[in-house]
Amino acid sequence: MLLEVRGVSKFYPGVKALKGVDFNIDAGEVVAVVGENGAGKSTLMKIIAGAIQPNQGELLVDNEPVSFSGPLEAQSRGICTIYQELMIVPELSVVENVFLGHLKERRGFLNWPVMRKEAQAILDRLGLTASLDAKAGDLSVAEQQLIEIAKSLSRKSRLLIMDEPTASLSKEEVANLFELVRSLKADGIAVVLITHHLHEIFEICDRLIVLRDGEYVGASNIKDIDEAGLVEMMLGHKVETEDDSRHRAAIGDEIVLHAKDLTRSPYLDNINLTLRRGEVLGIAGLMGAGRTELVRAIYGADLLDSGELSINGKLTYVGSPRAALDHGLGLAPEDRKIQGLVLSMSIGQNTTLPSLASHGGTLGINLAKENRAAEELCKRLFVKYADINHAVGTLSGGNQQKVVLAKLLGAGTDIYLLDEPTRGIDIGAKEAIFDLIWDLTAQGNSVIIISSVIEELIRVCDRIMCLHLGRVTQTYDRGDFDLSRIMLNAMGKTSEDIEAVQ
Amino acid sequence: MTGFFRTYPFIVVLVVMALVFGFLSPTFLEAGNLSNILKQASLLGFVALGTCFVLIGGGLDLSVGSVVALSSVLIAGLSATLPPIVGIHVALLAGILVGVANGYFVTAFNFQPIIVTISSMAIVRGIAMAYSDSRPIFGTLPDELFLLADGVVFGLPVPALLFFLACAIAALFLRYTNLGRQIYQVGGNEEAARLAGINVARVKIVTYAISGFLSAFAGLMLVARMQSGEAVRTGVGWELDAIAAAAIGGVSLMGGIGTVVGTLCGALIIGMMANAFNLLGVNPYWQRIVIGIVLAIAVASYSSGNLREMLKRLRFSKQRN
Repeated sequence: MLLEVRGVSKFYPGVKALKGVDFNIDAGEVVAVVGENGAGKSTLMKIIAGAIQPNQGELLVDNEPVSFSGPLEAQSRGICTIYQELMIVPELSVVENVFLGHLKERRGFLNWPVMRKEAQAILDRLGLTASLDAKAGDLSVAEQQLIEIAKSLSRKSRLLIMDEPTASLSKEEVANLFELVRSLKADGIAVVLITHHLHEIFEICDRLIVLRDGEYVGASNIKDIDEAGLVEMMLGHKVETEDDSRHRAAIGDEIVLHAKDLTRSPYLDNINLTLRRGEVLGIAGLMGAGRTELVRAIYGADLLDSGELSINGKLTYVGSPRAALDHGLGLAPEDRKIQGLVLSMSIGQNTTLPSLASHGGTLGINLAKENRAAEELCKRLFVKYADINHAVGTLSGGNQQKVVLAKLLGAGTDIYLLDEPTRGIDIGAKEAIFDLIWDLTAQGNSVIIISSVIEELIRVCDRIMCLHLGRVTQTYDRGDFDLSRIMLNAMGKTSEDIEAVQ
Repeated sequence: MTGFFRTYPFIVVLVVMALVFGFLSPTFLEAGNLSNILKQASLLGFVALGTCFVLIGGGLDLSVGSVVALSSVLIAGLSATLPPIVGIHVALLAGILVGVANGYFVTAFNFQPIIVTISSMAIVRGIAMAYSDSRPIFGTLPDELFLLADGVVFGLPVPALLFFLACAIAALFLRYTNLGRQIYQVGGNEEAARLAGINVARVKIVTYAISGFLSAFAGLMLVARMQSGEAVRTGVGWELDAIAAAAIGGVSLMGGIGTVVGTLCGALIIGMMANAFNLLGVNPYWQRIVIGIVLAIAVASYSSGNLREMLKRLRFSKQRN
């Protein structure tokens, strides 16, 4: 057995993050670690990678017990991790990134010829065509990820841990990545895959293990389980089937948001959109289609070159996020850690961030009132926390996302702009967010939602707008939704193109 | 209580240090000496308090020492011809203006705070030197002013009393006002603060203005004590002592984290060390070295969570070897 984990547990003050988990993987295997946010996947992976030490249990590499003092020791045994947040140094060249941390020397000087030769060989094998001297920061996310993989291959890694590797990749890039995983597998490299996308598990993995609340739930061969069974294992109960009646009912005639010829070169090119009261409008598009730029421009976070915006029928200039909030617009930004949350502050203080002024007494902020408001908001969104005064950074990803949404609820928003609200969060949290969206629209609010997962948009939206390179290619009403057509539109095909092919 | 000590380790350090110094030098804990320490520490304390605001807001202010000098020569110089109250107002206003200028250049042009305030540090010092012709100014100051330095109220020296008062106001401001909270938000995550509708530029300018004001106020206290103003040597190096005091008190140089209580303790710790070393006749070189070591230990313990965690890790690695 390449790696065996026996009964490991990890405690943090007040929390048991992992309770007696077993795990093993052999050369040439691809094993998925599945579970909701906060299930303990990251903790288990960090223990394997040597980033943290378990309180109990043992690790065996090649059937001999090991105890890693840090990631370097794990790497020296051939275990490498590719984190969701890529560890690329954007200012350095491709070859420097590949050999980051283990530059090759000869007599005290860097041996560039050997490094370049080795790096080129690895890049060729990975099918990365970028130049060795290109700045890593100039490459696409998919290419940067390949550099990460190259980095671990250059360390002669035998076990690759990939944490949500497909989170920011396009369909095509995902296919390429999986092709690569298959070839690594053929070379005897073991891969541990953490993903929220169930279909990926069935496409690429041999086996899976399921964690729930830090406990080992079970393992299965892929061929012995189906999607419904897997979801049941993850949640511990069956998922309810979809209730379509929740759609449409809420939509009124009144247009709450009307955007005309929004242009911000080079991201947005004459975009028009309307949003009705109670409507959920989805925006489909690839990375770089201008989705994020569109909602940021509406929110006043970036300034437009030209175009008009009417809110509730009145022509309005939204010059700053403050102005947007004053007009009832709220944005849940794409990257919650960078744009959405102040990680050093408490859960409660983050929740009340945009609405703080309303918790003031005559002598300043009423802390008790603020805390109650925060608790109320968090309860409405089922945020799971030990203490509302703990730093928000201690929450799992899904719960952090809920805090971002709770912030908006408290701000008295009636037009919600949600940029990738479901990225990197588990099924349970996703359902909670969909429920929230339906509740909001039932109460007369309107929602614009961006998602890379078109199935999700189809599930939750009343209308879907397809965006490609800053232009609207097509808009669909509920009832006309068609996964493959939406996908083609998002990839830049017009409907005429599609008709022509068919 | 353990939670309290984990949150405020500097209070433990302060008390332990006082007891150790008291044990080593019998005069240390005498009332006269303690009041001396308070007097001296409160001068740096005002500056450190301003620095605490700027650091929490994610900035850095190196111009504080120069502002102290400018304030001291303005007060001493203007009092030669005008009522001292005029000079005091001009000096405090000048401090605020320097702060607003710092904040403006940092926010409007997105310049690095360290560069902006290194520039203003040089410019302000230059103005102070030009104004005083680089000579000490012995103004005709009224005796009431000296009460600011030598007076005793409620058994506390007036400078210390004023410093504690300033700390109390600052602590309440940071905890209970919208603007105070916004300083933490801007320092903790500027982009998130902006998207949450906060006027980031305004918040930052306010922190620099507070820093400028408090530095000018320290200049006033200095004039009261020295009965003169001086531009060349006054406040040199205070910016670093102020940052050290804030850092010992747990203020993060990355922004978003820090407390007034911590800064107060940091200023007292530095003041106490200087005083005790003098009493014990420790060589001044050694004083600098020890201050440096204390700072390093303090920052190391904060950045690794807390000291206990660090010791645990140390023990853990020993067991393994």
